[in-house]
Amino acid sequence: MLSTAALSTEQAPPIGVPFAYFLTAPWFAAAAGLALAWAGPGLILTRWAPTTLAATHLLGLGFLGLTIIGALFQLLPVLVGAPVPRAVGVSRAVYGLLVPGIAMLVVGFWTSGTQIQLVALAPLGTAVAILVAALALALRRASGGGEVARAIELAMAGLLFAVGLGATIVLALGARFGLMSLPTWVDLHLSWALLGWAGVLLVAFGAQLVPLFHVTPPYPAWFRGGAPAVLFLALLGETAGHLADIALQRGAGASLALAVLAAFAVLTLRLQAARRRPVWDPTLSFWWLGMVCLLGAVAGWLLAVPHTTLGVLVLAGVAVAVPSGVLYKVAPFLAWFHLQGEQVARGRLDVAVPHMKSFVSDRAAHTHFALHAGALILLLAALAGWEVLARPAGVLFAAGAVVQGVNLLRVYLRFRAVRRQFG
Amino acid sequence: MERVLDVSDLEPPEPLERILDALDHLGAGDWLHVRHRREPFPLYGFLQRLGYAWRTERAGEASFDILIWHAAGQPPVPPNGESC
Repeated sequence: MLSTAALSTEQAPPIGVPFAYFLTAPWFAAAAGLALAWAGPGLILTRWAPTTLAATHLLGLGFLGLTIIGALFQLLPVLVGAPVPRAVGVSRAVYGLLVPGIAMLVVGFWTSGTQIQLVALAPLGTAVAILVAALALALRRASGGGEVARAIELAMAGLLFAVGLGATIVLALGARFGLMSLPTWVDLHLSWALLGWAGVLLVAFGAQLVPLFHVTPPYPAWFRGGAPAVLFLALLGETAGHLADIALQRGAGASLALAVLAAFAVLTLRLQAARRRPVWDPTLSFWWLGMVCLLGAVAGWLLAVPHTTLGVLVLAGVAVAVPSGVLYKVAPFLAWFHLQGEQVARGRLDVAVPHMKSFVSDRAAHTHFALHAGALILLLAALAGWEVLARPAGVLFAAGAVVQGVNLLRVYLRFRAVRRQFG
Repeated sequence: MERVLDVSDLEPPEPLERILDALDHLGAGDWLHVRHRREPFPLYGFLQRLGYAWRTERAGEASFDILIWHAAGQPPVPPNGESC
């Protein structure tokens, strides 16, 4: 690989682009926690309750979706050398459509208001269309990181499947036209959202970010290059098995997808144990919690544990924990990086750029981790029969998300305070 | 004269900090040879602003060589005389 002047333009989007998403996402997670505290055990004992649908979309779209999209705007230039075109305008449009769209959808689920759900499809669909078009344009210009670029393309296809399936379900319920089997459509929607979109990105970004931030040996080339595609193909196989009603094909597709995720979890834990600097930090705590939950979810699927337990492990255990940990590296790095850029651009060497680790303390991040891990333990206990623990779990979950929101806000406010010193 | 800087074992943002520090002390006609475990895309914007030119070559699965020199000067020429 040879890089020269083609990469010399300013690659990173303004810091407000990813931070708009990062600063909003925790409040959706906090709302999910409050929803559980309000609704009680009914929210986690069935996946069909209106409150359950509201809470899962607060986490899946509100927290995970916003975090991933903010990260994509930032990581594309870093990982594949391809900034999103017109990043500020695109990110504002996507954010401006997505946030009210998610809020409307959640209110629609909570109140069983099918009309509100239908109306929410318009901003959500438009936001996804703009995002996918912008990412596709960026990836066409990608100058490096071929395996990551291909994985993002697969994840975009996964997102389109997930949104298409979800929209079809809402339309069917709203317009009262029949779907052959609603549970099958919901299963496929879940598979594509959690594995085809978030799972593919988890595997692809994890294989880049773990060695980058924790100075570990690289993931094996066969895994980096093959895992996202195998995961995607496994989901295609599972989907075809559902549509053709071939149980063996369904099972084989799901098993293969879970094998990829289990391999990712084992590799991640092994590589992090072999990191060159044996320093423990909050990001590692979140990663380890996430990978243990991922392995637990795979084992749980094999043992046919209830869907609700799998959902808690995957959503709260993996999909909230891992991005939370990564944010404690990415957010301070961005603040440091943009201040360093400001210092160079203005030639103000007299203004000291704070060290990256000083933007958020390990203690503050670990407080968030302790609250989140505590909430997860209570959630699993509630699912195991101690239903009285469901509401306290919601309170802890919300508290953890609030701490996260405050921690990230402090990073941004510190950035602004130092930037003002540049004049 | 070549200055060699190995940042392969450092976690972000130390590689970028060390490279910018080393460039502060880079003499006219010298070049910096950075060894890194990944391609440092965020570095390039800084180099352009600061008036440096660079070439990046992949040396292995997790090994990159980045040569950096003053844009106004001559590109570095290795001992065997081939262009970098």
